[in-house]
Amino acid sequence: MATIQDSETERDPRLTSDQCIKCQICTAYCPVARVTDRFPGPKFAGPDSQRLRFLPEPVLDLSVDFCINCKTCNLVCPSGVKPSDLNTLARANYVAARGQVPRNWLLGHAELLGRLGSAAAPLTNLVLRDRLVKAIMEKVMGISKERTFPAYARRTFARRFAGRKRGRLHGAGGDSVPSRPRQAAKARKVAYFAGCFANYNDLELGMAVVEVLEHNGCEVVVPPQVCCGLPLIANGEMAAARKNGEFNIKSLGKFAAAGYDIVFSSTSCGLTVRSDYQNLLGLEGAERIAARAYDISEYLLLLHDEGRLDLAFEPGESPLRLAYHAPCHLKAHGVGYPAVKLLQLIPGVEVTDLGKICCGIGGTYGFKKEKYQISMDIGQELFEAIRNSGVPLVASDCETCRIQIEHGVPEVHAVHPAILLREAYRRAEARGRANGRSAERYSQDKDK
Amino acid sequence: MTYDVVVIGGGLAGLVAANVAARRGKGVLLIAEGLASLHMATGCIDLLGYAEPGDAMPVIRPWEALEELSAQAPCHPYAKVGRPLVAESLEWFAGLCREGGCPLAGSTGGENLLLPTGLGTVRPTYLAPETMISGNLADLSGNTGDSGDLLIVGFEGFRDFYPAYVAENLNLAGERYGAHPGWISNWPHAAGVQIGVPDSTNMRDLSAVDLAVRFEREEFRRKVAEKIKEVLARLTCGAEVARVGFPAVLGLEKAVEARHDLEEKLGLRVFEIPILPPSVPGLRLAGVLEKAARAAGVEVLLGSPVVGAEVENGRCRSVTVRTPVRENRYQAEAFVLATGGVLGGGIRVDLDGPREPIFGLPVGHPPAREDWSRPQLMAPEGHAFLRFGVEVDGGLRPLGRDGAVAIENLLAAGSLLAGHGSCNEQSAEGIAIATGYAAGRWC
Repeated sequence: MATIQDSETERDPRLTSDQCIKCQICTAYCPVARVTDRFPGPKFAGPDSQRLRFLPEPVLDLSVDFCINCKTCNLVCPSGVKPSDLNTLARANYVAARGQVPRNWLLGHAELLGRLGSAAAPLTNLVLRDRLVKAIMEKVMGISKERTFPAYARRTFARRFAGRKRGRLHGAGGDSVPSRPRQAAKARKVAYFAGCFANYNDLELGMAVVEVLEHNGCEVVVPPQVCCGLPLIANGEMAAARKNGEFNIKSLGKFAAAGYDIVFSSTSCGLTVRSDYQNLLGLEGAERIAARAYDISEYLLLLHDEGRLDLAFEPGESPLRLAYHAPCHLKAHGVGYPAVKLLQLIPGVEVTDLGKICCGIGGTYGFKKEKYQISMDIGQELFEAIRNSGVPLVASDCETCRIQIEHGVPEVHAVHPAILLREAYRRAEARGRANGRSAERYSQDKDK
Repeated sequence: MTYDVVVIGGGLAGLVAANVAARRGKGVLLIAEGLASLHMATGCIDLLGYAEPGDAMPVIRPWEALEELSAQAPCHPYAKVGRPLVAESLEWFAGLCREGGCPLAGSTGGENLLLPTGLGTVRPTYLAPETMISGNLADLSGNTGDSGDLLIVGFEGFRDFYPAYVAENLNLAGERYGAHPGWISNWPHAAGVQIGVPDSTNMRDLSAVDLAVRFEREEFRRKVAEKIKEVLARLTCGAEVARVGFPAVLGLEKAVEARHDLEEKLGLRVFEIPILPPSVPGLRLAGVLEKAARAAGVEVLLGSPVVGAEVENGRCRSVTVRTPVRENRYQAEAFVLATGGVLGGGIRVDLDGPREPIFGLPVGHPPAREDWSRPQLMAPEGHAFLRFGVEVDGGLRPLGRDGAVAIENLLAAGSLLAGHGSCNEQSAEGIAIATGYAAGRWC
């Protein structure tokens, strides 16, 4: 459909509501509306209700609370309406007018959970896995007892990374990460935004991203960073999100100005910084960061396009069959599925595309007691597709998608594509060393 | 990023072109701003419904009419593609739909079907989803034929379908058709009834998709069938009901099975009637085409408009896509433009006139603005603006202002093309498939 895109609608997504032609395509593709009647669908919650929110006394309606923030409606709309953005802004207005509930405040401040959880780990993990604690959390906080928080690491990624750098400067060995960029002369400079999950929970992911980038000749730094703000945005805490955004823009902006590319390993952090900072939060300077920002797989594929990606992957002993799940927030990037292309570069890897199904977690959404069942009902289709594919391993770029996949299909393991790339590089290096040794032995034998 | 072919537009023409090109071994990227035309269409494949704009009676034998049209109007897309390739494209398309579990059917003698619409009007079409075929109002060739009176069923709380209105209009249409010499005499009688939605939560209005999700469940179908049997037992209007017509919501992907199951439960033939968007049969068709495209290796980029093109020495090198995060360029050897006409956004109309926004291709139009449209919205002769389009050569390559090929590695397909009046001809899907198929072959 023809869209009226002028500078005003680009500045304020609320104004796109006038472009709605009521075709309901958004509702047809909404994963939430498909499984429950409690959400009226993106068209009704978004553009239809928007006119009532423009009134001098705006109508507050909590039905938007059931929007999962997957942004599918934004993508499928043929008229340029952004129902997901309308819902998010409406939810924030509701929270501003009626106040926040403690549970949503806490989930929104996921980074605080990370900091505390990390500081008290591994005790935190024991406590958070306790059935009684879970039951109390459900009763008191409204956090579903079916869910388990991801385990917190004792040390953060940022500290580990900093320690590694220091260690090397002082010549201390023992680090498994290859030490030197290989094409130092033409090195690309990367500022890595790890995000809360890699920082507090999955340090190996952060280390793998660094290792893969360095292996391909990039110089990697980890700038000071705070939570991107997505959990805050999703829980209506716009002021706090803006504060985080301003911090990150200032910090990342310095590196962008110095010629660094900014790389994310979490699709949702990436989307927030690249898109929501401008479109939802209207943060100044966000576009300068967006211009240099990439998802890790997108970035590696770019290197491949330039002929700079090391393709000496070593396949595993047996062919690796895995399925790929594309996170909704990756689709919202509009850059296709770069991880699939990357994984296909590894010999012996066979990738099954699971299609375009939402996993149902929606970040903190699926942790909420009243939304847990909706989240699992949405996920059913994906769970079945994974079971039918019969693979033991699922690759996905988003941390909460991976949590949901392992929750819904406990017999499979879910990993970030960067982990698989690192393994293939490590096998290649191990083989190289082994070859080197056997060559050495051969020459020694000859000398004898 | 570099591809062999970039297809711009995710409607029927674009999806067909991408599928065909990928099956030729091309590396294809399909870029779509949103999901569009199929979700607003009926799911039927119109070939040629009316020979002249404003004709009172539809075309019976579309292939003969197509030959005549091609002879009279050499600029018509059907004339550019030629009848043999049009026929080949439709056969290929029907095969793809069959494989995808969404089989299409037509009349035995290649005549048009006459199917009821969601308003109770009569629509000539060439191929229809198998789930709609029993709604055929008249077998125009007179050899077999779906006959028997109709019970049209709607649902309380579903505001996109009014069965009594549909039935009454169908009865009126019967009078009109019966009055035309040589036309149908055994027009069926229709009655309409509304039933409650089993196990309704009453939390919100139901959409077509909500009902389709429910119809995939056997238990829901059983309850619906029970309600209909109650209605049939009470029905005293003299109709001999042989067929039951539902709005087209009988399942998202498993509609074929759902329909068979309902027929068994009711002991009557069952059919779907296309309704207002979002069209569930359109969703099914879009699903089949997209799945087939992905299986053939097509990459699909959704939600991102193409905002510009880089043209050098008469060749397009790349197009620029505006994603939510930045602008990206995609290079290719060939490009297929299938962005739709004025209604689809492929042609923009502003104060300076109509224009094709990506490549700046010229769009023919009457000089005086008052000639672009007629005073009545439903004017039988149709509006000039609905015919705005891009002129192409015999190879579907768009022409510049000088009448020569504008960009040598660019092909156009679908409603974007000039020379047709698909809104009034009832030929949109036929044109989209034929030109999409040809573009996929020739790019």
